Amino acid sequence: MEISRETAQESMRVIEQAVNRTRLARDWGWSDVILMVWGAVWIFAFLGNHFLPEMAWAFWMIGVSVGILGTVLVNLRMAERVQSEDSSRIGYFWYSLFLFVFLEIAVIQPIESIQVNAFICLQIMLAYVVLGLWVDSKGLIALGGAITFFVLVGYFLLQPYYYLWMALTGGVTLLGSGIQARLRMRRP
Amino acid sequence: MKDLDPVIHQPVRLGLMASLMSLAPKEKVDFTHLREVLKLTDGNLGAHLLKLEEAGYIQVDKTFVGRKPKSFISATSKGRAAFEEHVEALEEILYGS
Repeated sequence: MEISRETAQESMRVIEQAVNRTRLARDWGWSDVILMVWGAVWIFAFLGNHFLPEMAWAFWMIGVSVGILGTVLVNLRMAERVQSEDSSRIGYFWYSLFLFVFLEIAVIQPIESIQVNAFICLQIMLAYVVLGLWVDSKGLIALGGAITFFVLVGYFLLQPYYYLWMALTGGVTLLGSGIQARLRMRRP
Repeated sequence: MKDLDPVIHQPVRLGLMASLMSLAPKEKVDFTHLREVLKLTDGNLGAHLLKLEEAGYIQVDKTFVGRKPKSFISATSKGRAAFEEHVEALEEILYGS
């Protein structure tokens, strides 16, 4: 079978396009909705924490419950799309992470709620970076790095406005990343 | 000199195989998800999958997720080898052997 150089070039373009689309769907196909859900949760809970600190526990309880429910539903749906040994390992990774966060807080016994909050955010962003390295996703690594930066700036430089800062930076970044990922996948 | 594979060379099947090759060896993708990612119709995708399956390049596993029947597709080792050889043949045309 013989083909022209132009046809060979077109074939390589078809391959590249298919690979890019598949990797995008694999890397972000589950997380666009999860990022949007958690972005909205962060904005809701952080703003609530800032403006009504006495009710902070309620905002976080509601927000985290919604976030966990949304994550579980998306993962159930995603299990219908791609079957992979990695999928269950990623799930166990998250369960282990939250268990260890709980244990670490019990050992460290932070004094202020802002310390607990910053600690949890940093642990979650560590997970994003690790997962990004695991599945070779520069986007996840960058997202984890960016929000880590926001947490550190808020905690060390803007403590009186930490919760407001995190709503407007961390929450908006998560939400925006999810929206961006969804739009990229829908592009023809 | 490597040979081009006439089964894989068809553009839709080329994209299909490239898509499956970008997954990990033990990963399988659902028919509907593949259709959405590659932007094909059910009939178009089904016809090309059949051709690849007849050539032994892909494996189609029919199962149930809950009560929903699902077809999960993966590239076979024969399919992976054939695709790699096809890409090498394309590269020889473009860049010389």
